[in-house]
Amino acid sequence: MQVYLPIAEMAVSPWLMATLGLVVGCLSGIFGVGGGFLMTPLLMLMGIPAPVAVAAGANLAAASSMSSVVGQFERRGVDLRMGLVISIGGIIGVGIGSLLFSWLKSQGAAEATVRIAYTILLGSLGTSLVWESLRAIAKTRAGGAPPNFRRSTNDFAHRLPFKVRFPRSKLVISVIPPLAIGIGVGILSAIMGVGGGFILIPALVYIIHMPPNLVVGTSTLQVLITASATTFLQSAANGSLDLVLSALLIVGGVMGAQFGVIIGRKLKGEQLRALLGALVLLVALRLAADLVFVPSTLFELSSPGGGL
Amino acid sequence: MIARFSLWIVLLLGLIIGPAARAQSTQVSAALIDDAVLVTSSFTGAKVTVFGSVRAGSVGRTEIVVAVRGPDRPAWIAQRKRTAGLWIGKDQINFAAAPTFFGVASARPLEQIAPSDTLSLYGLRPKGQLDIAKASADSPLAETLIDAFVAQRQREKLYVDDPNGVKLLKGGLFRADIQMPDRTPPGLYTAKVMVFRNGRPAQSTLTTLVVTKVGAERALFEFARDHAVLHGLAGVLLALIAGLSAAGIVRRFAPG
Repeated sequence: MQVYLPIAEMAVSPWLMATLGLVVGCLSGIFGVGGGFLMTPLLMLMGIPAPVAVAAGANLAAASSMSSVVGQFERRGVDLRMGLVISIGGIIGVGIGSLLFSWLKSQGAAEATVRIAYTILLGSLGTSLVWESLRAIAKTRAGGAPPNFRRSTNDFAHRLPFKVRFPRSKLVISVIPPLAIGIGVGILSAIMGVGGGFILIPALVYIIHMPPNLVVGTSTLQVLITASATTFLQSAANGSLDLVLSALLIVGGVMGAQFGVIIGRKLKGEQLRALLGALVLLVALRLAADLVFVPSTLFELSSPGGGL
Repeated sequence: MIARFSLWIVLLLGLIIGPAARAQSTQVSAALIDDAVLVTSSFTGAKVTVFGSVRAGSVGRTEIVVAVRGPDRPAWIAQRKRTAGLWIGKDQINFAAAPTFFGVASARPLEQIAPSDTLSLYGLRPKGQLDIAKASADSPLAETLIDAFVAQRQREKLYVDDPNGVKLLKGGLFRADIQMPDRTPPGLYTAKVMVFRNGRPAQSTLTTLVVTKVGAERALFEFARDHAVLHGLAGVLLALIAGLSAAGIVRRFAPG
């Protein structure tokens, strides 16, 4: 059976799309990432025009994160104030990123920049996540207490001005670091077309020193806000949102996200970070292979429906 | 309505060309079985069927070639190249217009029907249909990239060349079938029927068909085009409601 997509102007298998949504939604629930960095390239591999794939990926990320953020709120796993501060930065960052992207495009350097940036960022992130979490696991096995990320109160985040209380996180820090992180994530997500959860999680752990039980919920909230904004902008500005494709992906995605939250609850923080690191590293290796080895398709061309 | 109109055109053409054709003793008339292809939610492509009759003299061999051409759209192709050891660069050419679909049906391979230059001249080769943008025309790689573009669209069944697509029936009747894939976009399509006599074009006739979205597909497409802001809000709302209800369902059946 095939279903025709009115905006992408092609037919796809609805079962395949729902399954894809289920798998990516599950990852989204486990790690608190939107899954855009997996879904968007996968859709493009299937021949869906790039702008449609970006919009559909964002729409799925919004649905999956909505589905899992409910559970996170109930378990009091979200620092609402922190999430909102980061999201404000994120929206500013998306604006800066869009301008930067059109400048890179005018220089003819957009694609190369994006691909190299992706490889370096994901590669270093994946390596450090895996390295740090494996060390933590080994330490716990050896009988020691798990390392405490909130060791230092003399951190630069405490020395900067504009201090704000984040009661849920039990932090009194300057508003500048979370805002700056939000802007950085926003720039990256505008350039790379992803939600940015996979960057935000390590930033919350290592820079903000947030309690581990609040990290996933807070980043899910931020992904929900960014992905919703991207979905809306893609439709209003580019007309590239395909509601039929979104519905298919979302049906699988929201169920997957629920399973993901359940699975995530059974895993420890270190294990979660090791798994996310391994996943990010795999994507980075795949991208690096594309840069170094002769690509399977030397030619790429626009599809009749769009992708111009 | 369109059917009747195109029938009139065929008749009218017959009247105008009739005398001249009689002098050449070759006459062709053709009509589409369906002159509208409806794109519904289960659309996976369509078969375009052309029926017709040809009256020709007794000397030499008569061949029928049918070409269906989809609406033109801008297009580009790029070739990746290695820069400083990494595959990051690319050479690109742009087409101001390229047919989104180009299907040719015949009873024998085209090369056996007419010489290559004749085929190009009469627009039976996809390569000749591509309108290269001015800025790209001087590219030294243009030739390679154009060939690759045609080859890729042939792999995607957007450009087809079917040497068994025309069936010659008794009494000068013929039938041509051309398969269009699901990715052929809506728009106005042209079908051209050409008669070749001894490798030379003798007669031709044109007709059109419309590929159009209907029902839910059309409603969604028009909603997205005419109310982009509302459409975007609908997408966000869809995500939020689906997320909320999934959370609700799971909590009910798998508490904790």
